[in-house]
Amino acid sequence: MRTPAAGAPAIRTEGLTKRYGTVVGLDALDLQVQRGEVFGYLGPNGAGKTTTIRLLLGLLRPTAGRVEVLGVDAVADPRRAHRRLAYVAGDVALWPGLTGEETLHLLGRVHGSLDRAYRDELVERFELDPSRRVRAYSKGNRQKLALIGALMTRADLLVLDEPTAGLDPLMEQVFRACVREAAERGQTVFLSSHVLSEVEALCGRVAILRAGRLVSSGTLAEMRWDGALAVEASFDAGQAVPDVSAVPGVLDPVVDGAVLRCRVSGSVAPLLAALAAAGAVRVASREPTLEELFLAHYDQP
Amino acid sequence: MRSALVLGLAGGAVVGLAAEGYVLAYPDPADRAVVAASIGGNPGLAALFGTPRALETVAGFTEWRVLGVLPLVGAVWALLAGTAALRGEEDAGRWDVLLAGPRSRRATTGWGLAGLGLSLLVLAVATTVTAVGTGARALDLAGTLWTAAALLVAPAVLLAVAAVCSQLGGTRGQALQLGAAVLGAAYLLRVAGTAVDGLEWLGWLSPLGWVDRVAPLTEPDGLPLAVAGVATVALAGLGALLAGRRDAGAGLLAGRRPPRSRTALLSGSLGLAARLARGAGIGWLVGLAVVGVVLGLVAPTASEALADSQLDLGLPSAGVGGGVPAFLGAVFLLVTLLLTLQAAGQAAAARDEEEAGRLDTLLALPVGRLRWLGGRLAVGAALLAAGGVVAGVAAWAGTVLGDTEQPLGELVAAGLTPVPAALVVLGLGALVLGVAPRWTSLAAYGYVAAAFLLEILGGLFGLPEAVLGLSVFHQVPLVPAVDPEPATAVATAAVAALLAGAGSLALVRRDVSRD
Repeated sequence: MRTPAAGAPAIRTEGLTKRYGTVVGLDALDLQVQRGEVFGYLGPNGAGKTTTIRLLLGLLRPTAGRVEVLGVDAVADPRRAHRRLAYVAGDVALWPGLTGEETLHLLGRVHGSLDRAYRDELVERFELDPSRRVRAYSKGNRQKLALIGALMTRADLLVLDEPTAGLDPLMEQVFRACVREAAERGQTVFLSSHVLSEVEALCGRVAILRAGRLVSSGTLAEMRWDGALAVEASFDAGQAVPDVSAVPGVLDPVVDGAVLRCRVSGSVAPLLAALAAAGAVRVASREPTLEELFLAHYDQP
Repeated sequence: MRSALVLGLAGGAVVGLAAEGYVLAYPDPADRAVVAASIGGNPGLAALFGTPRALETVAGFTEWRVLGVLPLVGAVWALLAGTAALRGEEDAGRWDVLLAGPRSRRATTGWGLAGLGLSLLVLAVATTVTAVGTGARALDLAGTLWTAAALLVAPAVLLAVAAVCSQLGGTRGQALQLGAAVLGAAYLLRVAGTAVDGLEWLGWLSPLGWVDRVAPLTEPDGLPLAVAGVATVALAGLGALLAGRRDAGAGLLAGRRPPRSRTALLSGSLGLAARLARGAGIGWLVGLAVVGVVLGLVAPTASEALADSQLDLGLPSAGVGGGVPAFLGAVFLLVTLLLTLQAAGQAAAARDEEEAGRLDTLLALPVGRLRWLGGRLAVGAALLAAGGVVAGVAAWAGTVLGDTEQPLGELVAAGLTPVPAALVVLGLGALVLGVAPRWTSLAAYGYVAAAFLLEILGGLFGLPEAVLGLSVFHQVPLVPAVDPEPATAVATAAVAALLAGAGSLALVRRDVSRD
């Protein structure tokens, strides 16, 4: 058995495919997540995010392709891969008869690595009362319990599948702080989410999934560079607002009184020339938000 | 609803089959007189299976045979179905969705009860139609209809008991335990009322005593039916009333004291499996101990009759000598049934862990699928073996109390004899879990039910050995009436191991799936 190369990526998939009969859950996914990065995995419900995660956990058998976790084949040797990984499901399933304390004990013991001091610190920061039974916890408290259970292992790779569904805004802040700390310590975080603000705040690189296929991936800066710029130009009252729909690169121009809004892909020079010629008094532009980038991938049929 | 239909069809069919079987097995009045004399004069058998009346007639024998066993099955179904409908949904959180709408908890319980009423109606129609259909040749119509009504007493009352317990217990599991305690008490009251002179009135306190008093095929009496009807409505009403007085997700009895964390077992998947099986397992062992003591206690009186005649009770006891060992050998069939049902339950629990997503949580840790299944099967097997020992020791204690002490070793051997058969059910469950996980529970319980019916009725119809052999019950020698058969035990256990091994191979090759 070869030992995983120290430099192997945290996650690497090659042509990873899962079909359920004729339904395609995931279609030839090629993905690399480097060590130490916080990677955002985006997509609407049913796009294949959870299928990807269940494949990389070895819970599903791939129809085709390979998936490696920290250099270990996740299908052939899931146990070895899981010693260095911790997972939180979006729909947390724990044993209703166990108390929070018992659950954390179990998760720590079975995982094999546990930072007790950090566990106690996390329990405090997430304001969890670990003496109650799991069945008595609210959904948010169960989510906190699972998050503590994953973070306290200080595993090299954290696989988080929509981990903040059910957390209140305060706990969401605690979660973000914990993810940043994990990244600072060199842990890798694979964060599947459709909370775009969360991804924008935490992730360096992002992949967007649609109907089982990767439609875009890269750093947020790269994606913004590729995305259309939003431009807003104002004119004096009584001044004619020019028609810019024929200007190269201009998308979706909308005139609202004396204000023109549009998006520009590629160079802004032609538009600026047209606006200057028409005597615009103010021009503002901003980079697209992740939400706009995300939605742009789903507008097209 | 589906389970009510299956139970009704099977229960109704047993009525007709028992009657036809009696006609076939004892065509001649002289044989029937022997049957009547030996069972009729026997307080032990009456205590276990209810009051015998007019056993020399088809109607009388059918009544005794049918009402001795089926009401217990119906009662267990009612507890499972009732707590599932009224607590299972709630435990799974689906209730919150309903309560969030413009409905009160009482109304929601009311709707749950209405659904259960509908299940009861399905059960009634299925039982009646099948009983009338199968019993047409041997029984008269009025008697058959009375029988169907008598068969509904236990399910109806116990559904209402389940409704009350569902409000008292903090979880479905606790509700089920309370209900099982009520059923156990009802059975013991019925036993005491039938067995002890002067305490007959005790039977009026037990739904199973009401069933006994309906005497549908011999001296039909409507009063117990009326009592049962009133009790059902009153208990169901009480359940709905109590439902308005508790919090969702809580019980009226439970949940006051904070739970104590016990982490001793929780260091691996084997320990977790043991911890998860602990609560229900202990309750089951206590129940088994009670059954064992009762069997041992009534063995002396019951066995006198058996010693006198080579009587075929439809229990497979004929031709194995006489005395207390013969009786115990025959009625240990009941222990076999309890062990196999536990085995089916263990298989169903494994699938439940997968379906609820908890298996994902476990397998995302460094735990292999084989280790998980192996741990669950090991705990199941250990529980079954413990059950065998407990039943044997309890039966021995019963014979000591009844002043007919039998050798402890023999009775423990008798208790352990059905364990390999139960392991086969566990192995079958593992196989289905590997190959067709969605069907695990149905296949395991369904096989136990089918195998049990085949064993108790197949003999009356003279079915060939090859067919009877399909039932695991047929592979259980009647220890202590005969010597233990180590070779059979090893062979049966080997079959179980093969099934479990095949299931494990299939499990590692398939997707882990919540649906």
